[in-house]
Amino acid sequence: MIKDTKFFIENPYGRWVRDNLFSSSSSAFLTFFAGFMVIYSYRGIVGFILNPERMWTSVTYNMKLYMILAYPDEAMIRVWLSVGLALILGGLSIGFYNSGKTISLGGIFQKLFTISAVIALLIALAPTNTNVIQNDGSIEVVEIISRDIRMLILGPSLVLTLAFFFLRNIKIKNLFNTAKVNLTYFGLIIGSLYFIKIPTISLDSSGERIIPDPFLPIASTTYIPWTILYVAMLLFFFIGSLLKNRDIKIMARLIPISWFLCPLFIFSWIFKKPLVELNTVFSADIPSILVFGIIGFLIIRFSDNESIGVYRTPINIGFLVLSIIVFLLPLVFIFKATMVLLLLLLVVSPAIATTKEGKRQLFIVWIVSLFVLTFLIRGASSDTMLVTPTGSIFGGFSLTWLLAIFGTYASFPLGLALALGRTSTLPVIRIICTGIIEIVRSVPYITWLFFASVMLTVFLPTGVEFNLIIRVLILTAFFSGAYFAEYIRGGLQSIPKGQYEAANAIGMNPFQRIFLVIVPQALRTIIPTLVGSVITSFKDSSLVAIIGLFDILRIGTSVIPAQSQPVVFIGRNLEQLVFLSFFFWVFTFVFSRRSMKFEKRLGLGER
Amino acid sequence: MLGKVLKNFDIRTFWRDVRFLKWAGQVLFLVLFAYSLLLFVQTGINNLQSTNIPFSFDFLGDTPGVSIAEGFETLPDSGLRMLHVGMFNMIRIMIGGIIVATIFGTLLGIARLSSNWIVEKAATSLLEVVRNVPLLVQILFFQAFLLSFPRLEERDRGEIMFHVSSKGIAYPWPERQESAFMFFGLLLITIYLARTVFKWRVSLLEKEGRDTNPFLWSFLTFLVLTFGNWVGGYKLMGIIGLISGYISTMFDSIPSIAYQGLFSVTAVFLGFRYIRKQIRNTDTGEIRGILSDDDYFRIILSGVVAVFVVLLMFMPFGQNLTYFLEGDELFYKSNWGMPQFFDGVAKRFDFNISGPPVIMSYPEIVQAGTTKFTRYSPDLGKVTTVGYFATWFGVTLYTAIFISEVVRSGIMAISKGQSEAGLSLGLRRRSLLRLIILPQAFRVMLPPMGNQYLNLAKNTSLGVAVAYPEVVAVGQTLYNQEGQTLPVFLVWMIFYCSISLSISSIINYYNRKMKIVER
Repeated sequence: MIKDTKFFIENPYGRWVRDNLFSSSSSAFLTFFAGFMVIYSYRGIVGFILNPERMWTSVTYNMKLYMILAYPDEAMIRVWLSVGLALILGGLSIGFYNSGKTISLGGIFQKLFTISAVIALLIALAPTNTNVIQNDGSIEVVEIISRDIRMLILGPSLVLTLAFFFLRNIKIKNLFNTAKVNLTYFGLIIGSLYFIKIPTISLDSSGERIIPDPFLPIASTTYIPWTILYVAMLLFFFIGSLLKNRDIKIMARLIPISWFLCPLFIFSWIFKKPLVELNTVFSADIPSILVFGIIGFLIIRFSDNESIGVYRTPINIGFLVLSIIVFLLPLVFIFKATMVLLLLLLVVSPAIATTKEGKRQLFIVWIVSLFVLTFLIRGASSDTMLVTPTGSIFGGFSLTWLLAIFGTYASFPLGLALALGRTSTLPVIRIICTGIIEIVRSVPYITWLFFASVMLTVFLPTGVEFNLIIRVLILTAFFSGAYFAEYIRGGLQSIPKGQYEAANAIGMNPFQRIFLVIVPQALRTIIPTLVGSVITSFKDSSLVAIIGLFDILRIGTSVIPAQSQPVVFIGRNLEQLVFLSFFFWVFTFVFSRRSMKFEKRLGLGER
Repeated sequence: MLGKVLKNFDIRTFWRDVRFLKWAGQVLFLVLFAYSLLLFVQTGINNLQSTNIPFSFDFLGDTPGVSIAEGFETLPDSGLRMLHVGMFNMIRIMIGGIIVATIFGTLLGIARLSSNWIVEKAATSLLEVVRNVPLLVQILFFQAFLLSFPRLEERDRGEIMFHVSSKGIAYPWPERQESAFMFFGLLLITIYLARTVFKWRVSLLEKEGRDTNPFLWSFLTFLVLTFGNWVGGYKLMGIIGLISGYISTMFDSIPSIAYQGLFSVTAVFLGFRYIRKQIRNTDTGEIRGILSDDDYFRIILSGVVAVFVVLLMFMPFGQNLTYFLEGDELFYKSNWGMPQFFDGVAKRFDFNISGPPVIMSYPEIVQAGTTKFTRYSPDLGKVTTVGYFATWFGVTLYTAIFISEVVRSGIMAISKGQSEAGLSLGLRRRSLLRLIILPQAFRVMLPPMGNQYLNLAKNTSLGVAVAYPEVVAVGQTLYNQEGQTLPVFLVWMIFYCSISLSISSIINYYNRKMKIVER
């Protein structure tokens, strides 16, 4: 298309333009067409957002409502503790798993050059006017970006672009760690909370709105907690780096386990503020730990005893029957839950507790997991001390997280069981599992949610009543369990037959074969799919808005558009939905990008 | 044989036999499963009885007394009819969505592989935006966006070409006339003829080596025949109507015992053939193989199904099913409605029908009854309501994005050698894509594509959030009216299961057809 003049052959930019934009006449046409479409839609979107009809203060003013709904003000510290715990853990893992990748000063300037160039381009292309449809159907043209504002942003960004353009060829040997650079960027964002000012709704002492809206920093009430959290995150980043340098191996196991336990701990103890009575602790928890600790000790001690080894199968079956009996008896819930853990120990111990060292380690693991389980269940099963007008401490974004995380946690074991059942060689079990999976999968999630909200109570014995959130969680567990089952089945089918035969050859029983050989390998191959389905369940959790749970979407679509005190936000739907789209987008996008990097590090799909 | 078994029987080894343990375990599992299911259902029935709303399907026959916002019948006279409207609305969105999502998704997938930088980046950014926002948020956004348009006012009244308001989108639409069925019937035949001409010209080209213009020929054939069809050629199709009338009378005169006999014999024959196939599978001719647990299971199951069909046909059970719905003949009819079907065909394909098959109809804004409100005329043009638009557009866009990923990975799965070979044959890029890459990629794409169609079908249920009366929303209205939550849920379940089953069986059929024949 383009004549091969000197510019397009020798200049690298010219070559790039020729190869990627004008390689043929149809490509040139596409370039103009697509370019026009992109610019047109960009201008449309900017016009839509900056339209004077939009009232963005309805979003910023209600940010607290969005995040935690009606969580009591005096317990706000608990919310910050929850966020802080996650951030601290994040800082620790960034420090500990720091890959040591570095970036040169020139590289940083290259990135900054790109960013400032994009900003300059965007502001240059932004529309000056936008159309406002009046009530009588006529269209009025309104100026949204005045010449002064455009120049105010365009000038500095052009100067910066030029500066970075020359700076990026700088030859300095200094290399910077990418993790540290990213943390600095994060710090800049936190710092900008102090500087960038926007019009904010504020009320005077008598509850009247101050007009015009005063300019205040973004997140004017929360920048101090954010700063403290950021400092704590930095601190733990350095602790993580230190641990990595000291080469402490156990952290490599502890960090994933803490990531697993962190949401459980947050939701059962920090966010909830449980009402724990010492009476129940002494009458139920401590006896349970003692009894099961001793039983576990005995199991580990005698697991390789030859005279008992003969009776292993009857003992296993006996414990299975015992646990079913314990389940049916009206005992404390902690006993029942610990019984399941004991069954797991019974299966695992003959394979691990073969040496003195192995026995010692297994015993430590056993005692720690007993304590953790009892601790979490005590928090989770107690009533909360917090009083909220909605009757539930979960609402808004915290409810979205609760549903996404616990939906995943509960559905995973169920999905594993269903997948194992579906791949089983026993026809009856296989057909039942296949039937459950297919029926659950072929009916949409929203109908299952209706089932949870109006029908599940019918099927429960009189006297047993669950909160709507719990009912939704039960159904979610089933629904995503069926999906997980299909993914896990894919993983199970990818395991070569030799693995089964090898496990049989060294004399493993079916449970050991499945849980020590097959399942770990199957799970490893499907980590990418599982991460994808976690993202899906995060997105799907927004559906609970339809059945009346106050999650972030319902707050945006029915609570805020009905507000008339202290400011009238009636009918402000569009702003909320744009904000929610952006909000969900940020989380899922970042999560999916992180998981891609994580996959690369695991080396999946490259074997 | 039994004596031999009994002679070798030893109680000490019997309970440790793997075969015994396997079956004992399964029976135990089945019993436990059935027991817990029974307990669950029993509790449900008891609880329902105590709430004074006993489980029944009576509401399907009752008049619900509520109207539906859109559909082929806005004031249905029975609950069943109302559900039918909902189902039809759902299928309408599903089919429209599948067609548009496939086309748009394929284009987007190809755009993502484009060598043009702007096209590739634009497609990728659209993908990243749509994929990462929950579908429900998108649907609600489209609804809110349409609702933000001005309302219909008195001054808008009159005929229009294209109009957008908070009531929906109105645009001209070709309206079907009486002769449309005959016209489109003949059109199908015309397409077949045009295809035959195309093949004939291509074979001529291959034989003689000169340019025979196959496309031009077939296109001209199509044009000429369609023109003839339009001006009155469709009357030829009256023959089908004539034949259908005779078939209808024939089916009417057959006694119901003949149908029952026919279906029973077919069921027994199919069951017998299946069992024979299962047994012969293990028989290589020289040695008889051992039947596995699965084989036994299949044999028993197919036998039971065959016997069940025969029972269903001849026992009064079948008649009882008819009265199950208070005379509403939903489940069972001995002639399966075949006379009525052919009667309908005979009515639509009639020699006496004349006039153009479709007429363009333009929308109009009119007064709503005698009220002071204004609305789009329901009979003229086409009006896409806000709920329909939001659901359809949201679901289609969302699925198209996932289809584009499927298409992209399908094309990437074709080895580079294929396109190099095509290019070296002198094919143009467009022909290369159409003739070599896409047919091969299609085979890889089919199973994941089927999954996306299933997802689309299930996602249409989100119409309930924007008040689009599809089957879930209609069911919700019904149980709010009658209190029968469980039967409505069962209807949903059966409906969605059958939709999923039909989509996946179509996909499986094509999958089998497209599979590379291996040894």
